[in-house]
Amino acid sequence: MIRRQYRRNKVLYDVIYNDLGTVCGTDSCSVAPATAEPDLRPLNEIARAGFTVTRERTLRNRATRSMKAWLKDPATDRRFYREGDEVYYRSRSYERVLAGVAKEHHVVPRCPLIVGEYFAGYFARLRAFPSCGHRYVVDINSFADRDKILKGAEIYLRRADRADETIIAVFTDPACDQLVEMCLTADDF
Amino acid sequence: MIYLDHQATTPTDPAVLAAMTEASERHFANPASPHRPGVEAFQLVEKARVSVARSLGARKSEIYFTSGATEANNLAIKGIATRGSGHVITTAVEHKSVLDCCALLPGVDVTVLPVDREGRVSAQAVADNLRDDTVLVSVMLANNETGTIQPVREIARITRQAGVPLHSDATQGAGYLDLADLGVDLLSLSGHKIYGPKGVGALYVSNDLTDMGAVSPILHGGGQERGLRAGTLNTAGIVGLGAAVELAVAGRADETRRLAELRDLFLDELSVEFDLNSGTGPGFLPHALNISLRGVDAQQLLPALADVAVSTGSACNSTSQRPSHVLTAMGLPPARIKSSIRLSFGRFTTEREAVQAARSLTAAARSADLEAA
Repeated sequence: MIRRQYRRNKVLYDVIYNDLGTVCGTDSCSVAPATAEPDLRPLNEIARAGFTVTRERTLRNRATRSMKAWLKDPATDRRFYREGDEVYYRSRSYERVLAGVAKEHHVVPRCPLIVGEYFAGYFARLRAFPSCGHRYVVDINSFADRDKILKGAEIYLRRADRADETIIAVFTDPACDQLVEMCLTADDF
Repeated sequence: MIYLDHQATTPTDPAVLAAMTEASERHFANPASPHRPGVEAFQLVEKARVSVARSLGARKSEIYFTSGATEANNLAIKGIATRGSGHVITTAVEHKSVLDCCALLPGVDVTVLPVDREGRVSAQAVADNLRDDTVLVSVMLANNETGTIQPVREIARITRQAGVPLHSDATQGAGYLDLADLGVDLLSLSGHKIYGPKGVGALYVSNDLTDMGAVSPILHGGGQERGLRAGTLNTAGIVGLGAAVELAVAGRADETRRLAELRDLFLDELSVEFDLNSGTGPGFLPHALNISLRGVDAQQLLPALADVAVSTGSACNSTSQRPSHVLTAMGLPPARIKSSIRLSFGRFTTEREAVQAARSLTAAARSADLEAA
């Protein structure tokens, strides 16, 4: 529909594939029971339809690298701070945002940081089209993911601080019958 | 009944009421809940936050919803002056929720600045009283008894230079003055003074302050409002506040002109000797009027005014049985304070009502048994 209606616009499509097996709530994440090797055939079909696929494992690895870099030099971003093993983000929307856990050499980024990495990667792809005056990421999620998406969006948008980038967070049910959208820019924070 | 007490509270605008009714009926879910009804309620709250933020020229993340201006004032003052030491500057004509709050700050030295005959504090007085340990200056935007507008922008330039946070209680000025670029660090708003609902308000806190952790919560609990104001959000009230702010901003220029004309019409029609305690120029709110009817005890006048709703002094303070602290601070003699009444015109006041109110007030003031011995 977007392609038909806005023929002069560049549109990219992407699907996030949860290959981490985690189920995340507002306060904690849990790993689903181990199952057999996942069936990746639907992803091939999606790819044939013009979609790219982003694996959560990849995003987590990127977030881990970012976090390790920050841990080496915390002065690079004062929005993050450490309390014991936990790394928090100084949010302008939430009381406390747990960005990750760092124990000795082991680093585990939490959802907000992983989502922030997703937006960072996606906007970087969109910047490959310099003729586009404004870039939008329309991110469709389940209602239950509201907080982690908004936290991740804040982490990305404040860091990038660009007037030409907008995240439209869409929350919906599994059948996509009910849509609730929220438009977010760096100016919101 | 002709309602001329819009500084005490305003009737809820029908458009606000419609928005609130829909929010109450259809979006009753807790905005923090992670399901569709919750996310829908959250969306409405965030839209209202954007409306309030835009009216202040602020960012959405700088708006915190409260139960009203009294709580917002308490949060601003107690939230900043928490260390049991330091110095706070305010003025003698502030609302009681500011003055009493300052007076009850443990271990904090408070300077209450005097005002001139128009009820206005001078920016120079603020500058002269700043100290090394001053942690907050609180000056209202416009007075709730006289409509006097304070030089908040000028004061903000001084406090900015000194690095001291400035709070302004904008409860009375919000519907009539441009609140963008005031230069304040904290600002209080109330829904029911701008044709919105009672029981809801907002506090603007600049991100510069909150990023430094300069403001502490006074209510603790579920971490709502970035941890600064715990408690389940009042979705319908917040939606009403957002709608009220939108309406106020959209019609402000025409409405302020119309209200000033109504006030002039009323004064022209008033055929009894009176003294103006408030002004009618640009330094005063356009809808507000404070007058003293010579030789008349205002407390005795009110019951005789069967068809006009006006008040003596601040409605919030009207049961205190003490003379108005605002008029006292302006240096008015006790007899003049005793004969003072406060009137304020509103969005739904007509010219006919303004004329009728003046005639009713004239008749009531002239009745021989009301005149002071």
